[in-house]
Amino acid sequence: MANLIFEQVLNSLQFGVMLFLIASGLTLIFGVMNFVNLAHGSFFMIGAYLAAYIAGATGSFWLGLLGALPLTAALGFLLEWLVFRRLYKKDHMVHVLATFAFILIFNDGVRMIWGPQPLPLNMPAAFAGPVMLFGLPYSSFRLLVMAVGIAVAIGLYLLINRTRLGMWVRAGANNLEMVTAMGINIRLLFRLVFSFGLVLAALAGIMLGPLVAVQAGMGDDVLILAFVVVVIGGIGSVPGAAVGALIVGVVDTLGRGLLPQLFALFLSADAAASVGPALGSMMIYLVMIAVLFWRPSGLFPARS
Amino acid sequence: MQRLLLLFFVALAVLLPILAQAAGMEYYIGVLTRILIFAIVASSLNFILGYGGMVSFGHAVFFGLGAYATAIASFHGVTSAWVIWLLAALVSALAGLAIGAIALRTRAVYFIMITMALAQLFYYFFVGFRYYGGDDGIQINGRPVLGLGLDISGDNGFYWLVLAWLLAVHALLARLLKSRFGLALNAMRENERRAQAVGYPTLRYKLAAFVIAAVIAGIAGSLIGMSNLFASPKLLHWSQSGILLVMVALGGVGYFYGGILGAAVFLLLEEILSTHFEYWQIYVGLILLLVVMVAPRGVSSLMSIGKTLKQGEQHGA
Amino acid sequence: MAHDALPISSALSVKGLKKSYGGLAATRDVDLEIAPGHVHAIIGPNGAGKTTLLSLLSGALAADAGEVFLFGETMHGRAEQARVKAGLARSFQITSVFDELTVLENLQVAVQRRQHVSYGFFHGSAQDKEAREAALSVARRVGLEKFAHQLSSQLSHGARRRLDVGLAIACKPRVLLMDEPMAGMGHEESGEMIALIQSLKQELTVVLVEHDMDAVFALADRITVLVQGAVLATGSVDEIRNNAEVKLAYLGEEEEDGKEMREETQ
Repeated sequence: MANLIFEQVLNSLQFGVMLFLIASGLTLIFGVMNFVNLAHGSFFMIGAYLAAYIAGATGSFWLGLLGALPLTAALGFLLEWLVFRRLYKKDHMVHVLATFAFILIFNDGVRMIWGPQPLPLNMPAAFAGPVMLFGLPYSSFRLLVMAVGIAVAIGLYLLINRTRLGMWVRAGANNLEMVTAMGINIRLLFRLVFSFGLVLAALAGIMLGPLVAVQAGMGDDVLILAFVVVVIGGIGSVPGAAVGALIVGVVDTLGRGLLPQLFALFLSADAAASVGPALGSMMIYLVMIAVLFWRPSGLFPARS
Repeated sequence: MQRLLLLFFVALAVLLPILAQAAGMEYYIGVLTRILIFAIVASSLNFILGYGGMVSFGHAVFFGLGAYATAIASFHGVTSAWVIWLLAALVSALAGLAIGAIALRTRAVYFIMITMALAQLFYYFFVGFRYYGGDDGIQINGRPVLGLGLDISGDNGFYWLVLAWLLAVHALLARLLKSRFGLALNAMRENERRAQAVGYPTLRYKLAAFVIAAVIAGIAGSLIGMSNLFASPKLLHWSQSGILLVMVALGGVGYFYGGILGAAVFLLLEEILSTHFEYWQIYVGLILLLVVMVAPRGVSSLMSIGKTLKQGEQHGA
Repeated sequence: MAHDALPISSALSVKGLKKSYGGLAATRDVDLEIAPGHVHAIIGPNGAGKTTLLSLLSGALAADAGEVFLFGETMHGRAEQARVKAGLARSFQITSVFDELTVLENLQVAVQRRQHVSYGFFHGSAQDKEAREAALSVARRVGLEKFAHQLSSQLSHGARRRLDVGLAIACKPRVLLMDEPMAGMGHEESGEMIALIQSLKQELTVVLVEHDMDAVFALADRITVLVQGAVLATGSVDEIRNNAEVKLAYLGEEEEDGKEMREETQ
C-alpha cells in the first residue's frame, strides 16, 4: 500500500509538471491575446506524433524530441500567420469555432497520415529501467519527465521575470493597451507567445508519449484539464498555472488512482468499482467549483 | 410572403415521409428525423447564444441528460412518453439551474471554460455509473407509448412526433423572443452594464433563459434516446457541445432559423462526406474554417431568410 | 455638521463614504446632503474620483464604509437594482445605450422594468401599449421622438447622449445621478441639455457631475468640490466661486480648460 501511495504521489507530481507546460502556454495565450485556443490540445498530440514518427524512423527518442519541437514551432508560426492572427479582434465564439475546426482537422489528419492505431514512442533506452528511491522502485523515465518539466519551469520563470521579452509578456497579460501604446511590435509578440505556448504543449506531449498512447484525440482530455488549471490558477498568470497544475495533477491522479482503493476498504467490490473511478474523475471539477466560489477569478489573476 | 413560404415548408415537412416512401427512399426518414431532433437542440443553444450571448460549451449535457432520463425511466418500467418527457424536462431544468447558477456568475473566457468543465463532471458521472451501462451506454427496450391512439413505434409516426415537437418549440421560441423577456434578454446581451443600471437583475434573467434552453435540449435528448433506443455518455461530452456550437454557427448565430439550418447543413454534410471520404472530419473542419473566415454569420446571412429577430419583428412599426 | 439626527428633508444623504483600491484611496470620507428639487453639482479636477463617487451612490460599486440614504431610506448595502427600484438612477459619462435596439426599444427596456414585476415570458413587447407610450413620452422629453424607430447606433453623438439620459429618466427616479451629460457636446447641444436638466428640476433631484463650468453655474443650486476623493468645500454657487482654496485647487486651471473647450466647439 505504501508503495502504491508513493508511486501515485510521484506520478501526480510528474503529471502536474506536464500539465504546467501545457497550461502555461494556454494561460499566456488567453491572457495576452484574449484568445480561446481549443487547438492547444491538438499540438500536444502533434508533438507526440512527430516525435514518435521521427523516433520510429531513427530509433532515437532524443532525435524525435529534437526534431519534433522545431517542426511544431514552425507549424504554429505558420498557422498563427495564416489563420489565427486574423481572429484576435473577433468574438470568443469565433475563436472557439476556428480552433474547434482545427481539432477536427488534426484528429482526422493524424489518422489519415499515420492510421487509426496508436503510434509507439519508446522511452530512451537509458531511462527504461527503474531507479531506487527510498528503497522503493520508481520509473527513471518518469523522473526524467519531472526533471525536464521542472527545468522548463525554471527556464520559463527566468524568461518571464528576468528578460525584457518576459516583461512585455507580463505587461501584455495585465494591460494590452498600455503595451501597444508603448510601441512594442504587438504582432511579433503575439506570434512568439502563440508559437512558444504550442511548443510547450508539444514538449509535454513528447514526454508523456511513451507513457500514454500516442493516438488521435489524446489531446482532447488533457485540454480540459489544462483549462481547469487555467481557471483555478487565474487567466494570464504563469505562477497561477504552476499552482493550478500542481493541484490538478495531484487531485486528478490521486483521485483516480487511490479513490477506488479507498472505497474498496468499506464498500463492496461492485460498488467501489462503479463509484470509485467516477468520483475520482469528477474530483478535479468539484475542486474547481470550490475554488471559484472562493476566488471567482482564480487564485492569481493577472488582470486587475 | 414569408408566412406563405413558411407554410409551404411545414406542409412539405409533413408530407416528406410519404414522398420518401413513394420514391423508395425510406432510409432517409431516419436521417430526417435525426436532423429535426438536432434542429431542436441547436435552436435551444441558439437562443442562449445568439440572443443571450452565452457561449456554452456544456449544452450537450442537457441533451444527454434527456436521453438518460428516457433510458433510465424505461429501464425501470415507465412506458408513457408524457411521463418520460416530464422527467427529462425536470432533470434538465435542475441541471440547468445548478450549472447556470455557477457558470453565469462568470463571463467571457471563464464562462466557456467552466461550462466545458462542468459538462465533463456530468460526463464522468455517467461513465462511472456502471449500473446504467457506464462507458458502454444503456439500451432502451422499445419506444415509449404516446397514447391518444397514435403509434410512434414506426419510423413515420415517430418522424411526425418529432416534427410536432419542432414546431411547438419554435412557436415557443418565437413568442419568447418577441416578449418583454426577449427584449430584456436582447438588451442584456447588448449592454449588460446598462441593463443593470436600469434595474434588471441580469443574473436571474440569464439563468431563466439558460434553464429554458436546458429544458428544450432535454426534450430533444429524450427524443434522440427514443429514436436510437440508446443512451451513452458520449452524448454529454464537451466535443458534442462543440458540434452543437458548430451547427448554430453554420446556420447563423442569432438568426431565427439558425438552429434548423445549421443542423440540416451539418448532418447532411456529415452524411454525404462520410460516405465518400474516410477522414471526412477534415473536410468538415475546413468548411467550418471557411465559414468562420468568410461568412461568419452562417448560412442564414447568405440568404435573407429569417433575418435577426431583433430587426424588424419587434418594432411593431 | 451634526451626524446624529437623520435629516429626512434630504433627498440624498451621504455620510462617511469610503472606497480604496489596494493602497489607493479613491473616495475619502465623503459627506453630502442634497436637498429635494435641487441641482447639486459635483466638480473637481480630473482624477478627483467623481465617477467613482457616482458608482458608489448608484450601487454599481460596493463601498468600503459609509452610509447612503435616499429620502431617509437606507441604500447602503443594497444592490444596484434595488436602488433603481427605490428611485435612484444614473446616466453615464461614456454613452452606454443598447446599440442594436431602436430608441423606442431602448427606452421601453427601462420602462417595462419599472412597470412590470414579472419576467413577461409571454407578453409581447410590441403589444405593451403602456410601456410604448411611456417610452414615447420619455423620447419626447429628451427630444428624440423623431428618431423613435431608428437604431441607436445610427444616432449622432449628441442624440446618443440624450438617449443615455433618457434611459435614466425612464426609470422615473427621485434622484438622478448625471455623469458629465455635456461630455463632447457642442455649444448648441449643451444648451439643449441644460434646458432639459432645468426642466427636470420640477420633478426630481439631480446630482450633476460636470466639467462644463457654464452649465454648472447656470444650473446648480449648490456645489460640492471634490479633490483627490475628498470634499474640499460645499456651498452655494457664489460661495464656491469666491472660495480661495477652491480657486487655487481647481477653478483656476478648469476655467482655462473650459475656455479652450468652448472655443474649440464654436
